[in-house]
Amino acid sequence: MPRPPDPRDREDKLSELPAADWLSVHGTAPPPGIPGADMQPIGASRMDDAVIQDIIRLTTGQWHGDDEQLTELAGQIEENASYQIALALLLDAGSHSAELSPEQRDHLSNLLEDLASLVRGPHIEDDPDVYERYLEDWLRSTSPVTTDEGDGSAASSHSRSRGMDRHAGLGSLPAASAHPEVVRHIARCERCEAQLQLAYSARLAKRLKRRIAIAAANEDTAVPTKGERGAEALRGPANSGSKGLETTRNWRATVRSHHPVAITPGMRLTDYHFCDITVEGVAEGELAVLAWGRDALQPGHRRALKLLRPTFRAVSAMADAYREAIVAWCAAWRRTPRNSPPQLVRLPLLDDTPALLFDYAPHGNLRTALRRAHSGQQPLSPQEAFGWSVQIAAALAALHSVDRQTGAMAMIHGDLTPENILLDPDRSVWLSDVGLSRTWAAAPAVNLTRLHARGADAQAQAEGSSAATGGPPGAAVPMAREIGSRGPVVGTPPYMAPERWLGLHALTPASDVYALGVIIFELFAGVPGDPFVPTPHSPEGWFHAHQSGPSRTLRDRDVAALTHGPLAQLAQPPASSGGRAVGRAIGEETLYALDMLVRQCLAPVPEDRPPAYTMRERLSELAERAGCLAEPIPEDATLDETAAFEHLHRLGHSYGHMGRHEEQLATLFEAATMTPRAEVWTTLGITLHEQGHDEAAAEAYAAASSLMPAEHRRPSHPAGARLAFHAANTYRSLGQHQQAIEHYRRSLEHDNQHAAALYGYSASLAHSALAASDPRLRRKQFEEAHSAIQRAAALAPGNSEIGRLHEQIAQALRDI
Amino acid sequence: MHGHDDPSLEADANGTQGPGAEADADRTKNAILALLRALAAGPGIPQVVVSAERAAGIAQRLGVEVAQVRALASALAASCPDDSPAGK
Repeated sequence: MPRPPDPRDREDKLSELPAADWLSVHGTAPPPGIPGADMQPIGASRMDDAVIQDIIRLTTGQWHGDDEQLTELAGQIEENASYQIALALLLDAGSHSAELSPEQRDHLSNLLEDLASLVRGPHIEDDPDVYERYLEDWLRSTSPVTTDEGDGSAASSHSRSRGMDRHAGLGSLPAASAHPEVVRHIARCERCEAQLQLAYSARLAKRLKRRIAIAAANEDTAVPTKGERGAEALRGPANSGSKGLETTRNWRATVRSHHPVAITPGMRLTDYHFCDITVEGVAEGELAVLAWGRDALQPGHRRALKLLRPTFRAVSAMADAYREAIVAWCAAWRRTPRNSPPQLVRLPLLDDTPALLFDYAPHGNLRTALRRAHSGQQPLSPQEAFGWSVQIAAALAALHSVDRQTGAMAMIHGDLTPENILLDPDRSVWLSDVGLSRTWAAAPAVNLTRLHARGADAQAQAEGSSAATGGPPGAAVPMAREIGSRGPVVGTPPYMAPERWLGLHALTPASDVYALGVIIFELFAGVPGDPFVPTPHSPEGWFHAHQSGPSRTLRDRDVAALTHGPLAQLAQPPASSGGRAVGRAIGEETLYALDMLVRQCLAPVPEDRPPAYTMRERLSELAERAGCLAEPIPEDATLDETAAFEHLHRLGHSYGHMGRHEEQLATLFEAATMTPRAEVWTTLGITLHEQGHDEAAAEAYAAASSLMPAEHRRPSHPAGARLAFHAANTYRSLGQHQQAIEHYRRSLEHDNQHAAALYGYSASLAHSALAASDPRLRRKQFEEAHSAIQRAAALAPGNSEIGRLHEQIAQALRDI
Repeated sequence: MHGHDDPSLEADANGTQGPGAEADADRTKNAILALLRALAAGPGIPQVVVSAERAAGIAQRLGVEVAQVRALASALAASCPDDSPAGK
């Protein structure tokens, strides 16, 4: 507690005193030049000097009024924030007075606390009974305000209401607020606001879920499918006069170009919500094309998109299998959470092509690291080799186990190779392409049997560019009698366990462990090469080599594990820690144990191989004995709240692209209930819109706007612009074209290269033009619509839907 | 769609006052009255000293801006009669 000022000190400190201190010295207003002297008190214009005098008399023991006067004074104080502050100042001054007894000071201090609680309102946790009132007040303070500017639509008016309220001063809260002290408290108490946002988000999710369930159960209001709704919705209201302009509502859903566009550097790949990547590099694998570049939605980050090769995109069964594999991987991500969750997105500018979105691996893949190590360019340390081995084994163990939280079944990677193991920015490893090899099962018969041959081409491609492209190119081979009897044979020969040669359906978790054994061999070897030497160097040769068991071991002299591999560093310890002989002995002992582990992994019979979790434990123990303990890896991956939210958010979105709409909504609602963030409500809005629940979508967008930080709601901010674009689509679907136009403009204000926004903008303008009675206005709107669709056509050449609207608008202009 | 089915949320969209608003206002007023009575029955404040530090403390306790409190303290000073204890 600060020492009470001594009156004898006052004159000496005059020059240091701010304006508020002047009271204690002169009892007069501060002269100009004193800090704070020019500030106007809150509500000064409404302050009554007589009331102030009453408050002063009351607090200085000079009050002589009766109870009626006291009641009147209480009412005046209750109504005026300035009087409350004045009373608080005087109470506080009294409670610090040295001339009062400690009991008297406590009394004043308690009164001050009571007053403060009344003014700022209690925290939610202080008084659970007011919880509902707080929620209502918070919602009221963020509720739409109908103005003359528009039709009072939720999304547009939310920002006005919210922004006004959040920055209101005392006494200037909206008239609609029943409890200004509560609203004021929430506006300034982040903790309570966060609690209320959570409750709001959870309750809205619950309500919308119920509405959707009712709508689905009601045959009379059955939601039309996306295709059915297309033309109907964009025709607009029956009285809009928009005859003849029958475009689909969602052009993305119907567009299928017959001429796949090649992906080239500089191209923009975006879904307008989760990614907006300008391509910097492209690499082609046998199955897929990888493109990577900077993501405008995550400044400073590079992200990668993997798409099926154009020839496979046309095979619908393969595209479906690819999507399914991606979603399965997305769902399994939480078992091995590394980097951001992968995600399935659609790329409207590429004819709605499904793509896998994930973090770009700046250090490339494990093949790159192995090549540098074996060439002596960047030798691996034993810590790195052990660390990566344990991390890979732990990731496989997690994939191979049943998900304790969701009950999901075990997953098999299916194509574990150094090419499919990527390096984090911190050089930790994570598994890529989990389960994607099964996409081949849906390939046309001519491609049923494919083998990756790791040759010179693959080596060249692995350098950086194939960080996530999957395996290097291979060639179709004839099937031997025992090969391919259980499905297509897909994989990279050096890593394929004997059972894998039977076909994809013969895969087991032990097949992944087999590949792990080969990778451990490569990690600790001093030279490039595999444990198997095929004779001849053909698929059949590889098959027989795997059946016969490894022909090279880590302890072979020509493998050079102790002279050029990571364990060589154990034989060169610092001088202070012992002699070279001791280090060599540790190295030999470690190598012996490692060799035994690798042999167990490479057992021809799957049942003879240890499970991945055993490998994880044994490798950890071995690393510890060798003094190369890798960073401990927890047995069960636990996600923090942010990661869990991101996982659900992206997984929910991914489900949508699989047509698994029930899971999609359930997952997104779960995310919204868990964490009340604007992004998930925007995603929910998109989802609800695409499923025909446009009114619910508008509510979701309103929630997104309400939950956004104020600065994000500006059209100049990417998040605000994206929300405006999606809200515009919903307004267009509802036939509210003026609202749609307004929101498209906001979106284009931020990004005038937004082809989808330009398309929607021109469509709504055209609808509006058709409804206009003034011929000049009609022409003007058609001209603007024409200009917009021309720009869209230039940005998305070959897009048939844009082309069709372009022709329609041009025709309308000619007809005028 | 079928309109809102959660009354507690439905009421908000209208921006109208809730049914308990009046009762709450009375409750606040009565609480302040009780506070004033307790103040009137207690000791008078012999000396008023408002420092910048205390203004910040008051602002925090009330959930208002420091500048608002400081400015009001100035106005309060101007209102204090010279012969009152507060105006010493």
